[in-house]
Amino acid sequence: MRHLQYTIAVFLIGFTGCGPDQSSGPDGTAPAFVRDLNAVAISDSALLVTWTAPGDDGTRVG
Amino acid sequence: MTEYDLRISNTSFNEEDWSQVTRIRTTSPRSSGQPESFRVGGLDPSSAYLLAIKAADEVPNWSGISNYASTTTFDEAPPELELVWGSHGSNENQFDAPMDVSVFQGLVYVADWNNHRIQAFDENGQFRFTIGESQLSKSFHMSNDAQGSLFVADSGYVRIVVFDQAGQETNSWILSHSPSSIFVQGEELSVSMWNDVVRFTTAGAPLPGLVLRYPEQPQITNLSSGTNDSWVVLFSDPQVSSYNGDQLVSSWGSSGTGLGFMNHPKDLAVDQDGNILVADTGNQRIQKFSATGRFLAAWGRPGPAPGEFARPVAIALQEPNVVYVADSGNDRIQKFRWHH
Repeated sequence: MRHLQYTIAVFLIGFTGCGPDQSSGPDGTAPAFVRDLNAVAISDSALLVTWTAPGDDGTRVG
Repeated sequence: MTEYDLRISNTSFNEEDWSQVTRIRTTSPRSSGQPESFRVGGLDPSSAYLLAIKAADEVPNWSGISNYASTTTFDEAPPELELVWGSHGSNENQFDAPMDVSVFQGLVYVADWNNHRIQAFDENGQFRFTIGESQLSKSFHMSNDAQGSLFVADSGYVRIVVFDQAGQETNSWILSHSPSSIFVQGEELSVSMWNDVVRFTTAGAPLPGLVLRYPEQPQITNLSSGTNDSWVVLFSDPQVSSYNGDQLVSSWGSSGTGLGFMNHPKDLAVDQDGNILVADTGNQRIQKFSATGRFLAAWGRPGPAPGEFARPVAIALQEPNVVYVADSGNDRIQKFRWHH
């Protein structure tokens, strides 16, 4: 039987909740992704891109 | 949020190759729920582009990738706005629903629908003179012959009226039905009435007419002379049909709001290369197509600002590179120029 050596690394991914105790901590939540990106050509060399500014779900620090 | 990361490419991309895709610097984010708008320039013509965006907060935490948006740049550049003139009213330089514009020998003629008159301007929009005051009713469309006579299809009085270059009436004759459009080609005058095209000599003598469609089918919206001996008919379907005599050469057009689609177009013009400009009235824009219907360019959007339209009902080409638009709902004329 061969003996193999394994190295195991574990990352802990934590969910930050919405509780009041988070207000003093760092913002760990990314903004929502844009859902309505739209592009329309306006000439032979340009286009107009439009979207709705998404929500910043995390806690604003500072 | 504090930052956007907008990416653009000619090919598809995803999270793995995100950093290799060209980034476009945008304006700073507005508050949540606000509409964002950004112009991306420096692109290649006739090219398909794919775009996606991420948003970041102040940390920064980056959002996931947005939906992908795609569009294809035009084959040709639209013209640039050069001049706007007119406002609502009944004085000189004012209009009440201008319905047609025609340009000939340095003068721009505007059919001023509810004022029952035609106003003539120079190419700089300076008022020159009025034609047909108290002689015309609801004048629809105009066309010129090579000698400079102005032929007016007067829908209210159901007749053709001819004016000389000084604005004096020189001829008129009654029609059987109210005319919707008119064009002069050589010594022949063609007038559309529903689905019939009746023809006259420029002196008013009747010529054999044409029935292009049966009465229950979508009617003729406008007529235009084409290149050489061809002529072009805009039907209300919408369809753009080219004829040589009574022989149908080509027909194309689809109803809709996307680029290349038309929504209740009211006028068309054929340039010296055979390309076709359409007043896409219901979509509040002008579109340019090849003779076979390939979309080439578009300009305008709804609104009162310069370059925007409210029911653009008529266009007039002044070769080689100027086009006038009767912006009916805004009671004004807009002049555009291609800078080739």
